Amino acid sequence: MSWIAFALTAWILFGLELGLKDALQLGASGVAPSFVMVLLVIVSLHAPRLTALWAALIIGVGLDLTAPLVSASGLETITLVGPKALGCLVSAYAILTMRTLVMRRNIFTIALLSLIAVSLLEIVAVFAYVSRSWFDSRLEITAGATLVAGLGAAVYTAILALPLGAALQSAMPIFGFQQSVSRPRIRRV
Amino acid sequence: MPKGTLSPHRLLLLTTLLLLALTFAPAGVSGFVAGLREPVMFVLAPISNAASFVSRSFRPARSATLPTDPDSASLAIQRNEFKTLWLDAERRIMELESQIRELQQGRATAPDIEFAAFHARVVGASSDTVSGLLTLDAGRNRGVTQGDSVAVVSGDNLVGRVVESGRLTSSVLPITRRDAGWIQALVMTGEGASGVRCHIRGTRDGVLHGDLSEGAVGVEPGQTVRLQDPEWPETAQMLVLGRVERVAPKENAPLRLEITVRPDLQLDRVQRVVLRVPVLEDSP
Repeated sequence: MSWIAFALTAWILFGLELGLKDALQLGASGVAPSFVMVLLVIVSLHAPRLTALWAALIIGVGLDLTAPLVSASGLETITLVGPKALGCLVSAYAILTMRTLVMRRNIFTIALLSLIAVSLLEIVAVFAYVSRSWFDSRLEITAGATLVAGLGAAVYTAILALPLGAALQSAMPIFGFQQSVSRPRIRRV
Repeated sequence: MPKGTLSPHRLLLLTTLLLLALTFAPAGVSGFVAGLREPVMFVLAPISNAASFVSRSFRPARSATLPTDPDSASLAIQRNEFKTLWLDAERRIMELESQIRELQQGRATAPDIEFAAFHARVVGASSDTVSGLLTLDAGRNRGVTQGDSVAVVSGDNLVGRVVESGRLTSSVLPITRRDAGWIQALVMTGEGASGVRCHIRGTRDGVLHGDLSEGAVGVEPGQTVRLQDPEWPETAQMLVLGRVERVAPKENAPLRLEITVRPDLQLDRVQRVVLRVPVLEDSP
């Protein structure tokens, strides 16, 4: 995979994530689609295993750094690097496990996997936030509401993945995905 | 592979363990990662700024009270600004009178706080829409300070308080978000600076909801609600929080009244805000 193409695409999609996400939000519910998670799905479907996992970590760290939490007092923000990165890693791993069973070029596959990926990301992130809030008094998380908004975002991302996934699929040659499935190693004697 | 070098798999595992440790590390240990946020936001700003500008131009903040005609709207904004200044002056007079009384009793009082006001653009939001943070293109380079600076729009409508100030950017938490906490406010039932106190908090519907003080009378839909909370900076006092949308008896305590306040604008859709930054006067 071309890391330059990945970086450029991630840069654009992160920019859209910060600039457009609140405009696409359903009311004030917090339910909004994720642009970068569609990229994670495409990369996890087509890139070599290790490359996909590294790409997922990079996207996850980016999401952590662009989504600070508001402290319980409402007077400061808390930047945590880890929860979303680990969530993205779990999502990428799940897609890597499933990719041999699905039709990778089918746009509905990308939509369905986007739904699964965002759901896993939100579950892992909320679990991490809640676990941390047990000993970090600055953090106050309403797990149920956050998770419901996250799962709503998963459905919304699946809908967004139909046009965005198609656009990214058509741009796949620039990513230079050559080895989509690792070949079995032949040990020479 | 030579002995002693890290294999890519092992490096990935170590990175994952590091991230896991950072997730649960105490604030003192993991605090340095906040410093990484500023360069990331700086790199993403060109795209997010353009996307934010386009989205906010197509879906601007709607005002429920301002006229649609630009000239009339401008006049209305000026009128509202002067009304806020007048009400704030009345509040200051009352405070000064109380300070004089305190001084006469030989007690020390806090120095006055002046503020600087300037425009800032909303260049993006958080990638996690649940938090509702707005990112502005002004930071410590323009004197923005966390906790003391507030953002207003349309002259006197309070948007929220600055909860993070980086070197070039800052984040504002709108008052309509639940995380902004409880706010003490005054429902303006008459012409002067007096009114009925209430205690309200943001909800998921973009409104503020809470209780009116005991024995409240004369509160009706449409009345202006202004901030009067000692927990908030001086620069934010008597700014407009919104208008009373609904007053009704509480379900579990029918003798008490609950109130719903709707801001005049959709605070999460504003394109530009005015930042009020406190300037401490030099001591004579």
